[in-house]
Amino acid sequence: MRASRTEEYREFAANRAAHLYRSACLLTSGDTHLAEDLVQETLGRMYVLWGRVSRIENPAGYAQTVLVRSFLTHRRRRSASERPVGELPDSALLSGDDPELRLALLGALGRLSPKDRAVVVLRYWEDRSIEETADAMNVSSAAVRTRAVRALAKLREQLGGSLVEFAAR
Amino acid sequence: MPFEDELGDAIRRTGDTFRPSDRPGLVDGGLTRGRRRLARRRAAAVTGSVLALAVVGVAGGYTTGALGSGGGQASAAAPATPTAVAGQATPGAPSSSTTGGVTKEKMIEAFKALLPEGKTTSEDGQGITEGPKGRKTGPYASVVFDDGQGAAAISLGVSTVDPAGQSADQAVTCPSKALVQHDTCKAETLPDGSRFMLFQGYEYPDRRVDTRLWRAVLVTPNGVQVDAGEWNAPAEKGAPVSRPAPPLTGPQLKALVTDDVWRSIGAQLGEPHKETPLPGSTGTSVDKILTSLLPKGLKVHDKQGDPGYGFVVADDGKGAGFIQVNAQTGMQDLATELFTGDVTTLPDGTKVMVRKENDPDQKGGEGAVAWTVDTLRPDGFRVVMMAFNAPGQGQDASRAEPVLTIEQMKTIVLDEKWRTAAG
Repeated sequence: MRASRTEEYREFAANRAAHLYRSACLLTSGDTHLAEDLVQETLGRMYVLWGRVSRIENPAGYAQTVLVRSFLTHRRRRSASERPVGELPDSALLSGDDPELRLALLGALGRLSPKDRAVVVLRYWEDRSIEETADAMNVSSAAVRTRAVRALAKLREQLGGSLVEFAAR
Repeated sequence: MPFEDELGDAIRRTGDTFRPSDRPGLVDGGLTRGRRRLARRRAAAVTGSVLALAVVGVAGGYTTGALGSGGGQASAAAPATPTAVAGQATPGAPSSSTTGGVTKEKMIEAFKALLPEGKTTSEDGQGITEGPKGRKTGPYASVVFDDGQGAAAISLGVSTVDPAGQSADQAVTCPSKALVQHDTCKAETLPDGSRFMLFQGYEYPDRRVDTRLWRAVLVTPNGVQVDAGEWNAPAEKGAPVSRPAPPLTGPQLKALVTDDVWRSIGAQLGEPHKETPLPGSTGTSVDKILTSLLPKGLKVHDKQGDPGYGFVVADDGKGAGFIQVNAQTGMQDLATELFTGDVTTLPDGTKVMVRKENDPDQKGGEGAVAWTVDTLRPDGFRVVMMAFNAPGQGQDASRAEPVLTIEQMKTIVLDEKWRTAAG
């Protein structure tokens, strides 16, 4: 790759890394090591595309899609070594501005299937439409709708009242 | 506040608490992985830039959204490449809305009106939609059609394409059998100047599943592209074959895509996006140089190429062999990442690497082997040649060894003529 393109890529990567990382942390329900790995994987894939990237209309959005796909591929490959539900690595327990909310939410996300979690993250963190979510995940809109309904019901069951409480703060 | 809003809020608040402890590390790590990946890819296969896209288009372009994404980019581009997301909105941006008179319902209705007698189920489609940037996305319709002989998926999309561009050329050019195995393919220019291709092959060119794909593509002089496909199964992928052949015959499929209704729908998509030629497309075609450098006595059955990549299928009388070449500039970074191990350095500094492999392109041809001679000049100019003992990618061996010897391959790739064919 030409030097100027590499510079452009670096700038893109530096600008997007933090956001990708946050998305990855949600997708992995707080597994920060895996999240780092996924971000590097995503940036690596973007590098390969970068030579052709002038044809991507929205590289930032595309990187998010790549991240979700990397996550889902990873889960397929490694499902045997999945972390037991509910156990978060220490780093996830570090306080944010609202440690209880964070813990409750990550715990609830962790109890969803990886695909359901991906739907939730794309819909509510990335604000993508059903169709865009379906595109990113390579599934039909109907499948996304089904997953979204199921995931919301589970999250409501687990978080129900507590979100209202948190929201009030 | 509805639960969905509360959840969105909670997710945003939680997501925002994560901060990478080592952001430069992430960026560097990404760069390293990217370079490795690129080196692996370059090392693994000499894939054609332009031709590879055409292959993917025929094989898998149909469901990738390539159809739906309007503009000049709606080509036979690879699903994994950016074009597949051309229509994707910025996160948080308003999503697409239907525009003009072509709704999903009208599109499906127009499509069904042109099908022969039969039952349709699983009707789906999309009208002309307009993205946040005013970019229009072409409509499509798909149904499962049953004429009584078995349910079959059939679909059609309308988009625009620069009629003078490469994407248009690719869309209506028959792929070589050396790259995509198929039964028949015919490309022609119609009396009104439109170009048309009818492809009759398989969903998976390697035929690991025997689903047939018949595909018809029309590109009008104004840049309206109509692309229809039909299968002999109720779904493109993952459904058992339901009948010997797709329901519409070749002539019926041609009549379907050439119907005037699609041109008037296409006219509502606006002017096609003008393509800028890819850099390097001014050089000599690789297959031309390759042909000129082959030893006397080889008969060339088939060849195709552009600057940067090309192949020939050559026969010495004992069976045909597929030979492909990449000529690339700016590959200095491969010196340390790829040219390691068993490398010879010539007096002028050119590095030469020879490799012999079984099942070289991982496409599983029975008994297939390939020999590779990879060369890197000190200024980063690379010529790599792969010679197979089979007549095409993913095909079974037709002879014990490739048509060329390693020594002949070396002589060819080290020729200075390649400089004119860099892509």
